[in-house]
Amino acid sequence: MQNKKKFDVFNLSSYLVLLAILVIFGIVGNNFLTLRSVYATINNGTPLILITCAVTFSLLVGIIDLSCAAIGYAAGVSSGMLMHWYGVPFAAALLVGIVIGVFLGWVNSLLIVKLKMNGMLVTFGMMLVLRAYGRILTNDNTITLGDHVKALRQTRIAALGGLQLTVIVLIVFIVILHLVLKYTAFGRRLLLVGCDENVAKRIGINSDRVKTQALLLEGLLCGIAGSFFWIVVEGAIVTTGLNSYEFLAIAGACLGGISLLGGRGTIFPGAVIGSLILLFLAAGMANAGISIFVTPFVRGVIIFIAMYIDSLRTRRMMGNKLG
Amino acid sequence: MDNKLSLELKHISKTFPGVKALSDVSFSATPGKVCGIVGVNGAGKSTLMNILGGIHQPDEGGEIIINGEKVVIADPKASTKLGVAFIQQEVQAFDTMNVYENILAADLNKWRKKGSFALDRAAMKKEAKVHLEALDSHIDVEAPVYTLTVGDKQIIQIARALSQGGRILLFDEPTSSLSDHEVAMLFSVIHRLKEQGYIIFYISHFLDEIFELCDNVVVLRDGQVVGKADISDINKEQLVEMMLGYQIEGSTHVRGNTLDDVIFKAEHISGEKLPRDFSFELHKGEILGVWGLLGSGRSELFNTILGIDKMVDGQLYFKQGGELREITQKEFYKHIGYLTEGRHYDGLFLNMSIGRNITSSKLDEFATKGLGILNPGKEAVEARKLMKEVDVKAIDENMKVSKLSGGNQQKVIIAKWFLKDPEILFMDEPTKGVDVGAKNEIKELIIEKAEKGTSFVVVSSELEEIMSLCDRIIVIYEGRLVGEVQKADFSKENLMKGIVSQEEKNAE
Repeated sequence: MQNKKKFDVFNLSSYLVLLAILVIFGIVGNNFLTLRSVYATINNGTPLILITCAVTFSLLVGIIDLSCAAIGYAAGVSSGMLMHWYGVPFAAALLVGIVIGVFLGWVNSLLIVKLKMNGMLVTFGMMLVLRAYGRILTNDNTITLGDHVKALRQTRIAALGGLQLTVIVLIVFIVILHLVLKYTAFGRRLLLVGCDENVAKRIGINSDRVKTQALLLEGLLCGIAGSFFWIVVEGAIVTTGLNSYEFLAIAGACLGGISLLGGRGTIFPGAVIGSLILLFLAAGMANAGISIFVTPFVRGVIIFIAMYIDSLRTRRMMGNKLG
Repeated sequence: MDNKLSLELKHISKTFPGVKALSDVSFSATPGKVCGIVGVNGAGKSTLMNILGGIHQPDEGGEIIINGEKVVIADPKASTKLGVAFIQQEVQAFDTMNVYENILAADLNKWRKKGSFALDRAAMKKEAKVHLEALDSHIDVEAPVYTLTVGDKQIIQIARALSQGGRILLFDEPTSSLSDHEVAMLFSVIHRLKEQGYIIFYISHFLDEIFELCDNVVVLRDGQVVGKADISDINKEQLVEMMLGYQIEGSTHVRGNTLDDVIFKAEHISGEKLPRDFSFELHKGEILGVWGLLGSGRSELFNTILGIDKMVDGQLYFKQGGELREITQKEFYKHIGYLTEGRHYDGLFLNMSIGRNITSSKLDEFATKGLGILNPGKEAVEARKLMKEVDVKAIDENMKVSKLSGGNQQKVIIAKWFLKDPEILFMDEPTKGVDVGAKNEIKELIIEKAEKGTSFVVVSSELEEIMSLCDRIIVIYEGRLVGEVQKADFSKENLMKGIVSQEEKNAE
């Protein structure tokens, strides 16, 4: 018989990896573990962390959404261009960005849930479309937003050692999302549908609706990630905005123990720690003076390790049936 | 076949942390005999099989002797090498490949043409044919496997075992997904193998099969061999008693004949294929049996009524506010529970805890209105209460469902529906793949619940079970209602009457 509260190395593994990265670069690096540097890394990573949380919701219902970052990008470009061309106030532009995010989530759900198309390829197509849309809109130019977002960008809380406002907003989001996933009927339904759609249907759960809700929520969060966090952090519309974040987000989610098959995962520690690992790894390597070309290499290796842990975990869960 | 084929187990024990799964198990098998291995879930059958299959190692001191030599079965490969082959419950076949590829899939390297990477398909077909012929089967070796029936796939699995040099064949519940006809076919194959002098083990919960097929039987209980006998020396009651360690009391249940009002009425239900123009009534607190041969449209009837398959024609009436009113399928689903036949396929969230499985049927109950915030404390309390009510044997509600035995898993499903407490419960084979002990407990649970006013519609292919459980049985044949039998008139003949007369009509 198994112990009820067994020391579970799997649940701790993501913390351990993050800790290891912090310690290693704390020693090797140059002032890597100062408050300022840590804050800066997290602040620059806010779009990635939120997109990782967003993609978690689609992963939980078993959809691998490759368009998550592109949705954020499209929303960000749209709201940025509104500010740039028409001088629309930031709040209004942000709202438009969020609406676009939700709309794109809805389009995804229409194709994937209603028309039963393959999720990964639909979202891959969506990614191409949205990336092209952004470049067409900006004519492939970088557009500096200057005063529009400067105030937000530079707001810091002195009492917390200069913590950026964006990080605080992000933390609020994380807390809410965590609670939603863990303690609401909506969150539980996501897990149930992700765990086994057939069973969920037989109980009378409308699994199509649940999946649609997940994609809408994901779109909403991606919209916010793009039009708030990305624009505020960069202060500009760049054509490579959030580039390849879909892969980082999915990899981060996996590092945090979110199952690609759906039905298992958390926002905290899951998505958050997973994305922090990738962020601090990149930041630490840059800080230690390692060439930026090496970073993706190491990230790749870390993903292999994470996937190995995931497979161990899955095997253990399935009762080791196939040896 | 070589003469010295033999298998002997001496003092095999297996200890898992905290549990003694097997203790001092000894028996031997004779070539050309079918040896049945029976026991309730948890008796140690799976552990024994896993030891023979090289998945687990026995404790020190035990000996496995194959063909007169003491062997160590270190891993599944070693087991195959020694000629041990498993034919499992779930048919394992590659659906998109051909029959011969399936049969020879285990060692494709052997079939490469000399000096090339290409497969020698002609030789493969020839070899596959040899094995199929040994089984007296006429399956086309070039047919894609997805076109075959489950029974044929089972045969392919046996052919594959033989092609790998299997001499000691272990059948683990091979009939649970087969139709009556396919079972008969499988049995004749097993008889053939027996005549050819293989050692055959047969594990099954269906005791009728054990009596029909086996020459002798080994009974396991709590990890020990509690009985060995020639099948001709014992009867079913004795066997069950050995398995359980106590006698089953016959259902002492006497239910009144007076039935309450009609709570549900289905009229002229037709699906795309089956059922056809099917009508019936259900009374409050009644246990209604739906009986028919496999393929007669029993499950289709449920799926059509409940809106899982398309309903082409028909109306449903449900009693609400004191009178029968027509109701849509969607609306009706809210008032019912549906225990499906495939426990693993669509019955349980295997990777979730018992508690989460149970509370999933009535999630809104545990959530606040509006925001839908769950109350985990209340969930745990309710889950524990229901686990006690249906007697799920587990450490606590946080245990993963996948770790439970079949009987306990089935009880979790029942607990799930008892929590929802619907007015009608549809149950498709509620005791399938469940051991004798749990079977009886599940029957008792259903009867108790019916007494409290819940109505049941039960499909079962086991005649004895359906006759002991139900108040009334309706008979389905080719998707049509062909008979109705009241409790007082229950007998196989009466149930078959409708089917026979329908068959006669068809013959004309």
